[in-house]
Amino acid sequence: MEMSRLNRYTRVMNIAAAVSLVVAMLAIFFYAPVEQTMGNVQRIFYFHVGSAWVGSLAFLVALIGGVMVLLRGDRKWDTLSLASVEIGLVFLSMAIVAGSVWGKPAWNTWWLWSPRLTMVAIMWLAYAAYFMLRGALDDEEKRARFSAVYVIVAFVTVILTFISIRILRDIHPVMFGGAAESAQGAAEGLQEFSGLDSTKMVITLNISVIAFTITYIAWMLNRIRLQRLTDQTAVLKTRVTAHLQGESS
Amino acid sequence: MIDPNQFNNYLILGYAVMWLIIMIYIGSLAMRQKNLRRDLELMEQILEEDDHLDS
Amino acid sequence: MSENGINEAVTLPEETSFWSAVWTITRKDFRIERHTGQTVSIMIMFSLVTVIMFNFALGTNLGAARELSTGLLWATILLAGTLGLNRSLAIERENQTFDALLISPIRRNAIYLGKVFSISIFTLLLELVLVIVFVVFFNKPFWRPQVLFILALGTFGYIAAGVLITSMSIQTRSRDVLLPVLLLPLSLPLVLPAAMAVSAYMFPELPSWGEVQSAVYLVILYDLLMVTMGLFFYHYVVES
Repeated sequence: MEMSRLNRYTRVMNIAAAVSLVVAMLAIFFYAPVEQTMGNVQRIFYFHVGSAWVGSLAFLVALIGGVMVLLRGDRKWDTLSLASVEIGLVFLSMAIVAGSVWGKPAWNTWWLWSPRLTMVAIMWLAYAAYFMLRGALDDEEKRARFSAVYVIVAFVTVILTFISIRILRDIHPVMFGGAAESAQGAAEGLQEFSGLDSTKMVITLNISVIAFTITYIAWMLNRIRLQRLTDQTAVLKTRVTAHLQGESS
Repeated sequence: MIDPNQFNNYLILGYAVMWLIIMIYIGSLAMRQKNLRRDLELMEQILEEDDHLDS
Repeated sequence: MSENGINEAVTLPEETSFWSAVWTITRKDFRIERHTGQTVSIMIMFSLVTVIMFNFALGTNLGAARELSTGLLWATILLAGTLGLNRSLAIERENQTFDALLISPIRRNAIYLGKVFSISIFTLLLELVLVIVFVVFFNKPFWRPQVLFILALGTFGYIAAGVLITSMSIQTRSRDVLLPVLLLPLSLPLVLPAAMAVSAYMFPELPSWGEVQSAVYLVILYDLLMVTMGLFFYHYVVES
């Protein structure tokens, strides 16, 4: 896609994202009802779940990008992967922070080594490490290839961790949290959609997810455009260097 | 029945931090873009002047 | 036709079966280790130092230390494993035996599997020492054959993932330093069930198979997945 078209789409999506986020905030604070057991603090749930969902979507897209890099070797898939991991990490960070702040009043602790949270911590570390790997590789082609392999292995690891923890928890509940387990279980119940006790809540949640998805797309377009600029700059830099060296000889 | 507004400061804290993250990321995107555009301009200038000198 | 490494010649006829290629690689690594002894001894020293440091950190609270001993064992194995991985794969690069291997007709996968076996065995040797140390320091039955079996099973999977990741990390600017950052998060789905399984055997009465079977199956699942991914992706991460 050429630059001017990209610029246009980006502008449109940026506006759409801003609007949808405002709509979501309004819905969250004025449309959604007050929740029975915890009161207003439960409203964090909408952004928390929304960002967690879209973050997972982002990592899935990154996985697809990685697979395509290995299959096709086209640079643009690497850009897709990179952008998606970066944005996914932002959404994941939001989800973690929101969950932690919600957790304090709900379970009286900022953090808990529950199955889901353990998985999320590992997820965050693994995808943050992705950037360390990229940062340490100068060769473009190698960087794309290695990033692809790593992103695939990381994804499998996250899935495995989730399965692992779920299975083990059924057998050894004591190992995973103890006293706070039941409170956390109730909270996780809330996080699964079954806990929603009114259609207004479901609608608000859907609005949040849609708003974040639009934001994801907008950010992706921005990030991809940024990468294009970076590549252009790199090309120009080599030309300039060549010119200047030519001058001095 | 508990007071529904009991934990409102956590509610505000939660949204404040999430929005902070959003703003920081948008800011990062904007700043990187600005720097790149500036670098591009600069280099195009250099190349232009060079062509001028040559011709 | 012979390649020169640390005076090691790897000669293979044109048609070599996959498994004999694997075995040749593994045997070559054993020979190198027997001459230089770099890898295993470093791993052992590092582990001893780590365990002793941890003991100091836990102070005189013997109860706490014993509670944590299974986790400590696995943590030590993971960390020492990164040393072994870095060492073993760096030796190849240093002596250009690696490039020679790539030129040879051995399939990439055989190299991968050969390295996985050799480094696993080095790590298992380390674990033998560790088991003795842990039995002495923490007075817990790590010597039980079931424990040894689980250790071996887990080690294989960890090294399988490790060889793939290390092959990437040593080609970066950061080299050694990057490996733990990349590998340790990926080892979590192994460590959780493996530690759980081992700790089930730390009590006087043996657990029933039903109690540990899920954990053991999860370790086996990890092993299979990592080896499969390693075999599949290895040739993408070594230069052609």
